[in-house]
Amino acid sequence: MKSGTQDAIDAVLAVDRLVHEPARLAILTVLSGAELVEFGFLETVCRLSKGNLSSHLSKLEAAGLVTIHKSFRGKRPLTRAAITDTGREALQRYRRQIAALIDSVAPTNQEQD
Amino acid sequence: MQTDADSLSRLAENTSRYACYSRSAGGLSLVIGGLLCLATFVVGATVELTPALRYALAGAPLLWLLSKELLRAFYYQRAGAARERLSGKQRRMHLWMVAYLAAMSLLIIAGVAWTAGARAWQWPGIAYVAIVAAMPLVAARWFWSVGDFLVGVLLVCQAAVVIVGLHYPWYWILLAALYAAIAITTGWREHRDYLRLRDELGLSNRSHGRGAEA
Repeated sequence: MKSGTQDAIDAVLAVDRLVHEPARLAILTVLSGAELVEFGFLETVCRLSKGNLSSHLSKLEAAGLVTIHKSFRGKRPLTRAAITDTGREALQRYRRQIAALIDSVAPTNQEQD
Repeated sequence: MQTDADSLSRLAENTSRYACYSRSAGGLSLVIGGLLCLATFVVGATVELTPALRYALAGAPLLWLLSKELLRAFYYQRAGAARERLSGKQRRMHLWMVAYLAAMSLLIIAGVAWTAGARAWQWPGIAYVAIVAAMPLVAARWFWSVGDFLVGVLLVCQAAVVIVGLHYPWYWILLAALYAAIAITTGWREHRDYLRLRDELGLSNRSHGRGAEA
């Protein structure tokens, strides 16, 4: 196996799988654009169901990437989420890894053409 | 779901733009503020102030703040609130703005207390002092942009002056018109930007309720 290919595989395997999942990646990306975001906005923009979004947020919270604030507005429950510094770093690291991975793969594709 | 790098950057950017409407972007509320500012200065300088008119003009800042809150909650952020993440520069600017207004308020109140003596603490002097004292607090909570600052300060100052039965001279209308023009132009541009953003985020054909259950 070529070392370049091995490096590419290592790079793929090194990607943070918690962040890599598309729904969680979208959630973290949206949260990175604001200080605090209501559940309803996340649901609309990420196009996720309530249950799905709730489940992903719980996983991100357990990993310390987001914080969840639960309160009430009148009698209605209000859930808001914010990205933590760790979450912001994880997202940036992920984006750097993916960018580097794409850069390393792109010349190979051109060679095949 | 889009996951490529460009789409993610756009998603983060669009969220930031949407979140601006929680603080620094007033949109139509800035237009309303500009119109109220101009109207109150014109009326104050040209019409004889009856008690009812005085209270109506003094209520203009409250009307503006109410419109600001209602538009934010039920129009610009009706898909769910997203609070703007302020940059260091924005935080410093806001802090200096509030500190400046707090210092000016203290100076004005001290000046009034010095010149008016006990009358400053009787009606309507006490109302003047209360409005001036409230200005930095209002600024701390609601003034997040230059447009807010220009319109808000003029509206509050005008309210403080008319509550004691006085009014600004006619030439202040020119300043009010200038500030109103800036606010209306900025507010309208922000509103147009919101309409584009609403389409980009797919919010225009969704009818999400307020709040969020999880």
